[in-house]
Amino acid sequence: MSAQPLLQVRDLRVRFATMDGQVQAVDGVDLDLAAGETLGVVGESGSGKTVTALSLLRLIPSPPGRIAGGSILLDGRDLLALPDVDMRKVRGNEIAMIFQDPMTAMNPVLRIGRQLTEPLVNHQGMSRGQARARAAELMGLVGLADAARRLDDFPHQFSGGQRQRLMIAMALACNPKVLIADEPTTALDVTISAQILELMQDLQREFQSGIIIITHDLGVVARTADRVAVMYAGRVVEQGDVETIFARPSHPYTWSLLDSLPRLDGARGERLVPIPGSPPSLINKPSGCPFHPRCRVRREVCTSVQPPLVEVGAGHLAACVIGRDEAAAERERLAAAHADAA
Amino acid sequence: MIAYALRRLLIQLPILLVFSFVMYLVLFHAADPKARLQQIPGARAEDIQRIIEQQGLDKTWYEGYWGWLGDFVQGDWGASFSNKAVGAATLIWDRLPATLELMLVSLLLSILIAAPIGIYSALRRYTPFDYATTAFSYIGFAMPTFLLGLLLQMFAIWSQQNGWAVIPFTIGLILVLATVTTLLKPQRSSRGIAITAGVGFVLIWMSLAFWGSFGGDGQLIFKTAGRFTDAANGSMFSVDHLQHLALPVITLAVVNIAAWSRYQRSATIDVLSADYLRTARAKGLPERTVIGRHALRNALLPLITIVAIDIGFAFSGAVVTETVFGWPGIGRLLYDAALDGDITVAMGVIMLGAFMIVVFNLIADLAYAIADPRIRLA
Repeated sequence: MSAQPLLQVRDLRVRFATMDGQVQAVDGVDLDLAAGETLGVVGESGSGKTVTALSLLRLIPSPPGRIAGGSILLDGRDLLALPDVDMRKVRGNEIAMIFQDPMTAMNPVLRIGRQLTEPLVNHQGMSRGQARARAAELMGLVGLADAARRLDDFPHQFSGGQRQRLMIAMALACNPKVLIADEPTTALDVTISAQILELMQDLQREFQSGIIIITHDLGVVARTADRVAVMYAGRVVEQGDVETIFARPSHPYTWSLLDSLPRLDGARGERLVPIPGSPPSLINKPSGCPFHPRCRVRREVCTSVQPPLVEVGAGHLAACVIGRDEAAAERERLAAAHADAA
Repeated sequence: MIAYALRRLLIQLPILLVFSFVMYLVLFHAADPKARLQQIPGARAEDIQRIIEQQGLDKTWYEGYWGWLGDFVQGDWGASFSNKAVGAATLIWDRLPATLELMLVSLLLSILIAAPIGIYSALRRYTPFDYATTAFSYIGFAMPTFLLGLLLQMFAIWSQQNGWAVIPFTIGLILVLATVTTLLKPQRSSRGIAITAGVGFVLIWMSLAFWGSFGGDGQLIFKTAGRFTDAANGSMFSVDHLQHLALPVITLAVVNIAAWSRYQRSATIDVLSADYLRTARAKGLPERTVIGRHALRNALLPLITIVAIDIGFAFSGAVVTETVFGWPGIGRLLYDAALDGDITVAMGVIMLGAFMIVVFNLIADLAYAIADPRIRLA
């Protein structure tokens, strides 16, 4: 990791006030992102991935949401301390975001040209004509043919994959330093989603943006990310290089997740091991490690002490009392036991 | 689009025909002009018999309907029973401008007031303003038209006795009452409440200070009946006409504002949580642009339909309001025709209304298709 990362998130905490009490949606998240790097953020629904992403742009709906603490440093500047006017200059300009559902993320009654040129006119002070020319260029860049004519079309005249390309064009309009993609392929079918991921990688090489790709799909992470952060119950439980995370996962949640997925290179007739139980309530979190009620290798201490994220290898962090080698042994033992039971 | 419109209208024709048949049957059995003739004091039996034959009152319902349909299609809409000199069509066309003026002015006023109220209370949800307009909507929607009309007439007579000061006094009273409704909900103190209540109290105090100084000499500031003081020479652009127009317009507008502002509020709230607004914010657009360009266009779409359909209803007249305020429109014509058992006139008004509702339903669809690029008519 370089000395001064592009984006540095420290101890981020986000709370939502609900009728049933305070929801700790994000509870002390640390993330780093270098220029030109792709960080995959993985976790199940409700683990705080999207809330973390929205916090980076300070787009948490408030009320009920509130960023309760921490810092978000972009090139050393704390975004949480910026006045609203300056924060607006960051959005879409230095940090841009691609949303999950391209069908609803675009305004249905405004022409594509208008929606594509908005950030250009807004941030770069371009005239309408300049912005239109640039918008047509961007459309070509994301692989949409006949751009000049289609600028006057409405979103519903594009297919889902085309719309996600448009969203990417919109996000890249001002050549942002950080691009956040929140489940960019979830709403698309498999072939289109592969094309979109490829497009994002190509454009990253060209623009040298740092990309944060948020997903629940480990396959997407494996093919795109340089580093991975695994989130559980509003916390990062493991972080490391993509090879390390897949080859030598340390946190029981991470390797339980991997063991619950089918693999093309797995042994024939291999049985999948589900994770028992369901994600914890974020209002009344379990004491100690939030994963302990579902953990099959939990220790006595796990019910009372929440382990911090510590280095278990080079650039590899995990929040578990069990060390990396011990975890690997436990994983093997459990897999063998499961195979015997079957 | 023209082909679509023509096709839609052609489809509606049989429906209008069936509707006219049913309405004729109902009116034929409800109204009994022959019985009214018997009540004329001193009328001789043979005269009555002669009138019955002249007017065709002894026809059966199917002869009557067939005759009426022939007259209607040919354009004179049949002879009026109570006003023999002219046909039903002439009577209705003479009255129509008064009704259209009343209805369109109140519709325009309603849109101009209801849409901003709805949008603003959606943007400032659960604030004192929102609670106050919500309270107003419930009262305005629940109040029967005739009651509101009568209350306004009482207000007019009160202003006759005490002069112009009653107007700021009433506005002040409404403002103070509006702040009271917001106090029912526990919330942090708001500067808006304080300012509103303050303005209200100042208005009340000022008007009490000048009570009876302006006007109050027995002249009605708001006229309670008719369209002009001098019906023969009244001008549409006179103060006298505005004084006549004010109260019936308010009466009609209150219900519309109550309903439409709620409608606009929920339409706006729907749009405010839309994904594309988050996209717009993520682009770094100022909140003003996010709301003005991205939210309002979508939020105003549903109101188009409501307003277009309500314009269609305007052609049937406002029976209650026109009757309470003696407004010489087709609403009161329908009321009088129903009392007199004047089937041809009543049928004429009803069919005009039905036809216009059909037409404006179509216009509502066309307008929506123009405003919303996603909709294509086929």
